[in-house]
Amino acid sequence: MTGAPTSSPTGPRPEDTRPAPARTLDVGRLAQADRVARRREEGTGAGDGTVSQRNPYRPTMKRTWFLATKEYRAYFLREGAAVVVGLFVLNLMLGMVSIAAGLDSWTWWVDLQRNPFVLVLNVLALAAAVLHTVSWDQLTPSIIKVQRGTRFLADGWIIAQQVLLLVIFAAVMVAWLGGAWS
Amino acid sequence: MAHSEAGGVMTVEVQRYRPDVDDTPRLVSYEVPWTQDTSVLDALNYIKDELDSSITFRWSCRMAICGSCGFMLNGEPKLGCEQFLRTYAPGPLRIEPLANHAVERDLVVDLEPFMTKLAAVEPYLHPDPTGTPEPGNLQTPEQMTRYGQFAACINCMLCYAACPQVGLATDFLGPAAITAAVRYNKDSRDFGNAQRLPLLDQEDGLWPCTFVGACSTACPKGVDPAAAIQQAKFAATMDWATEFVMPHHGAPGAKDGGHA
Ligand code: SF4
Ligand code: FES
Repeated sequence: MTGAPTSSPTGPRPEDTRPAPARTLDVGRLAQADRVARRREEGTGAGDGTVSQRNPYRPTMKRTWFLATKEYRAYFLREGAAVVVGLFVLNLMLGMVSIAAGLDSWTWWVDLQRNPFVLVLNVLALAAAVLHTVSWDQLTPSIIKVQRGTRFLADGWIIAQQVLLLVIFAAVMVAWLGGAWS
Repeated sequence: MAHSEAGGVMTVEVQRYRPDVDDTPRLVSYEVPWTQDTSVLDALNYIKDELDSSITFRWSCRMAICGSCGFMLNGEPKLGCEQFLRTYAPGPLRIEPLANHAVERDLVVDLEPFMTKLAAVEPYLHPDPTGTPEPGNLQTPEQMTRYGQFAACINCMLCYAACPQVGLATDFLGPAAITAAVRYNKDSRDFGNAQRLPLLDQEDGLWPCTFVGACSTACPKGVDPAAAIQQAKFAATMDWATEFVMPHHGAPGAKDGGHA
């Protein structure tokens, strides 16, 4: 083994004299990430020696990132739909306030509902509500896991249970409101 | 498929970046001969062996288990060894480093932020403080099923490249690190839930996740990190509610008051 480096992997290894890493957890921030940032500043991180020259390129996200993939677009649609639902709720609250404010304002609000913008808003809000119902049903099975032995209940059962709850809730509401009217 | 006898020469565009000379990366085109079984990693190795030995990229196992060879292929995060040129025929195929990561050189990204996030969740068994049970840490198949899927992670970081929240909020703990925390929290032999909760339940922990779901689509191992994160959110909320209703009684580390 002529010419073998003195610190060959088979030879005795030098004593590791570095201090043991601190084991405290700074819960206010990601303490570990801070440590990396600090090492960067001090230039003592991996690859900061004289052999390699670090100059990492940091890409930035495009402003239009949410259009880039099908998933991002679907996500954007979900988020956007919430704005429509929000406007719908505002309109509904306006209606409740106008009931309380007397007959004149109530008639004004009922007329407002014939406004084409409000009509369009209502149609969009219905579409948004359907979108949210469907995506909620699709996403719930990844959160609610019912384990049976070494398997989990199939997604379909979780969705079926959601739909069943919705139907029961709707039936109770209809019965209750119907009872109040008659 | 119609490609059964496919093959030929494909234009492969690779993003190159030399830290000592370049200010920004640029795309370089190579002509790569391919057959039915040429993987993207094979194509990169062909470029390195035959066309330009200075090209730099990571790989090791070439069988989708070491997690080293994640790249953006035509804008999607994929393992280079698991994808084939035939899928991208007739080309061109664009190979770029993983998105949302600092680029050290060519296709090599900086792993350190991810590694420190992963280490931060203490992804190892925390033993029972009251002592190891006799005859040791046994586990039933049912107990293993509880976390099994989340244990399949190979730390390839494709989920980080897929997640827009990682790109927007760089301190976000991110899909794989949270999944690792959930994997140990769900392990009947682990008692580290209480230590991990404060890290998860903070601004840069779980909560930047808005359930885009792209991580689970990108994952080559079927881990479903998005599910792990939502389950962790649910668990963190339940811990908060328990604490609210009966302070300090529902100890968050308790194994069986745990989440589904
Ligand atoms: S969760 Fe999947 S995509 Fe993310 S690092 Fe693990 S194996 Fe890779
Ligand atoms: S080389 Fe190991 S995952 Fe591709």
